[in-house]
Amino acid sequence: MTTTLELKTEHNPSWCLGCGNYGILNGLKAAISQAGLEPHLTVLVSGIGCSGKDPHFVKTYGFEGIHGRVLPVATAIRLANHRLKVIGCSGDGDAYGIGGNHFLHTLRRNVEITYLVHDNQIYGLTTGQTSPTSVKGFATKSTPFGVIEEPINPVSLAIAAGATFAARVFVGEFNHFKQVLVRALKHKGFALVDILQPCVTFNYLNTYQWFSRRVYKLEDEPGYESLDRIKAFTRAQEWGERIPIGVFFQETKPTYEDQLPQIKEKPLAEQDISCVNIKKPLAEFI
Amino acid sequence: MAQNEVAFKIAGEAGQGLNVSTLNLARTFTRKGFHAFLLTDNPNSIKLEPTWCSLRVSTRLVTSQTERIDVLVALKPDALLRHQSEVSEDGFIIYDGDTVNPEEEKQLVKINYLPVPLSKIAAEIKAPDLIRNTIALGAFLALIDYRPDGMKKIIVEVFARKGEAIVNQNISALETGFNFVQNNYGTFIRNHLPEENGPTRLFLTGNEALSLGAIKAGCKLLAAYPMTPSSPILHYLASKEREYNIVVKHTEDEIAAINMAVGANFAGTRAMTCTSGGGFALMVEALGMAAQSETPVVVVVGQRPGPSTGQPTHTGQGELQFLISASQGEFPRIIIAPGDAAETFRDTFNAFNLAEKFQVPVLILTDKYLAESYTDCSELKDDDLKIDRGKLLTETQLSAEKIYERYQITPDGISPRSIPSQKNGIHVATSYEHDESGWYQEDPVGVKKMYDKRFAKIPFILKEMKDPKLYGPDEAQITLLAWGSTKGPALEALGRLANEGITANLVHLTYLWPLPVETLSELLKNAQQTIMIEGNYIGQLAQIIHQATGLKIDHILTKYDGQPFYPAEICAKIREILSGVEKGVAQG
Repeated sequence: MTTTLELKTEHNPSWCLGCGNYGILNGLKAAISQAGLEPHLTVLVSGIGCSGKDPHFVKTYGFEGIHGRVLPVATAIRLANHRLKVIGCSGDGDAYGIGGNHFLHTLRRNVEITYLVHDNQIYGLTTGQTSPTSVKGFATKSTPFGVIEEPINPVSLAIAAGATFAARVFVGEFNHFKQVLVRALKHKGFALVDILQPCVTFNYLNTYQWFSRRVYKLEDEPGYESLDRIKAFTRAQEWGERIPIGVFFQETKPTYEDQLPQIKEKPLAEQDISCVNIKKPLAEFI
Repeated sequence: MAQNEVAFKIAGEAGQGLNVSTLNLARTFTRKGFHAFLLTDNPNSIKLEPTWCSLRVSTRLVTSQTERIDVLVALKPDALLRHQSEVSEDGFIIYDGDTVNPEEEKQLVKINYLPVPLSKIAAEIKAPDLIRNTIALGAFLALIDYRPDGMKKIIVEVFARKGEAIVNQNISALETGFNFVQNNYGTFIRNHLPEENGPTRLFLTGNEALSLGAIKAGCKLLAAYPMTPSSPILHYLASKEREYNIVVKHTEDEIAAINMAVGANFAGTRAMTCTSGGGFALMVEALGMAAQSETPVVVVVGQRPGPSTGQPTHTGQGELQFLISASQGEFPRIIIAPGDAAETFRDTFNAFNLAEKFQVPVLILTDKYLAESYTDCSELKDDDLKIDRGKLLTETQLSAEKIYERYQITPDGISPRSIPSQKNGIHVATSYEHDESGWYQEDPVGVKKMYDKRFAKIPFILKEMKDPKLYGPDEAQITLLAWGSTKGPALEALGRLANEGITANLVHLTYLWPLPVETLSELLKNAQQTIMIEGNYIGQLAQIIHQATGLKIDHILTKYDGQPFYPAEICAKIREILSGVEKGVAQG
């Protein structure tokens, strides 16, 4: 088993003091270790934003791409070599704003990717503009008179779009976050983990205190089971005085990769391409 | 009508199966060793819009369509009126006497109008009206006195999956059309082609040749969003995905497509995407990502006329300058524009080698004319094609390295590459400017070093590029320049000019970028006069050559009406120049 210490790289993050990203990074390393993943068989794929820097701080393979395109890159890595564990790191803007279309389609594909969305309801790296999850009325640099539209509810969206694993966690509940993350990493399919993570510099509204007063764990709710899509959807809608965290929904379904006979024997990346014979298709052009 | 060559055109409306039946007709001849060129005209509609398909068959090599038609089959009245002026002297128009009634006053003299009761015959053999094209093909074969046996065999093969009844119906349609001409127009029947012309030839489109090149190169993942004229690549590779273990992904958009192609390459799998100008516009940001992260990727851009949606189903060469400068920042890229199907096959194979060897994006630039026209070749030679994965490290090589740095600075600018799953090759590939390890780089000295490292590849890339090729005599009255698919009409024009006593040669460019400045300057050094022929408005390559070499191309022939060049247009322009009438010069 790889220890969290072994997963540390020579670089140290420079996120703002108190940023939720520190907790996410620690939780991620702990979960990778606990899930028994091997660093050379693990790939972190990120986009742009404060979350995009994650791959530099975890000693696994990493691909730091462009804004909003985590999922197509991550999908292709899985298709190219399904022996790799692929973890996507996005922010709320990256995942639900610019990357919204990919999010929708990756959900219905059920490619095995653990998708960690660092959801701080604000654009941090670009110094504080509204995000797709900012609450209505929230004043930011790009919406000085308050956001007019309603926020996206990532968990309901995922459940509606066919997610086979949809969870919400709060980084302030570290152990719970870690447990859910381990579960997500072990899920055979696409797993959304929407991480509530206060931005201490730009989000004056959704603070640690704000969340601490509101979040409650689904596991503590008597009778809640994450097996019913409709009930999960209803529960995911709850956002206000009480905010549920935990695994809302999980089901087992064949992944996209499972349904490709092309990679049944060997991942694409391991297939021999040194001498491909094209005599047969050539004969079709006579 | 000339001996040893027949130009055929069938005109009607979309949905009448013109392309498929003409392809069947073409194979009747290519199987007997004839050369052929098939040009489609696809309207931007699935049904009803007027359209046509033309086929040229010859005993000698033909590299383009002609302006002249020997036999026109008109399935609709407007098709007859639209195309009758293209019919050569003593040529024929076969038309449906039941539904087409050519107005006498509009008929052209010196053309033979031959009504054939296509609809009536279809009804007699209890077949749907769609079968009229097969009847007409039978009539055509009778008219040129060519045995229908080969065509029958093809009908059996093509329609087998639709059942015996359909096969028999089509055979019957072909025979009835054939017999009708024999019985009614015996005096017009004249033999134009020998029965055979040599061993069987392959007959395929640029898109098909490209797909075969990709398969041969070990492309294991194609991610694409449908866009004319590149969609047939998506369709073809999808049809072969299980036979060749290729994952073909029809993505949600072109942005996803290129990001997937890059992701797969990062993970060690050869992958590509294919699109047209509009789709490529969406891919541009990720193209830069591939370049900055030094991840190999192959992108096919099949040109069609823009701007914007433009003319989706027609042809043009308007994207060269777009491709050269696409994406923010500067970085090395390779652009290849093959000239015909055989080149497309080999250049596509090579594109994958170059992408991995130099860890740069490789763009294959085709157009509708190349992508969808069929040409013949004796074979697609592939036994000399060798996979070269460049500096891709093995596990053993990696374990010998003390510290592995993905972006190590080397004399040729190419850093040894590891892929996920290799134990000692852990790294972060990144879209940010970075140091040798992949960590963020903002130090000006380091930034400059890394920029220089990427550009250090250029001279090494140039060494592996195929030189521009000279066709025709070394010395000529005029030197033609062309790139990509314009090769075919330009070669045809050379032949015609030679017959008129004009000596012309052609410099054809396939490997366009980085621009082969030295070889190009050498080739043009002694040219008496030069003319660039390209399918765009501003003369894009002429401009680029001028910028890079200071060489001003003397004349320019551009075309931007959605149609390919016809050899006659090129010949006319050259005659004009040589007679001193021509006034327009290059705008470079």
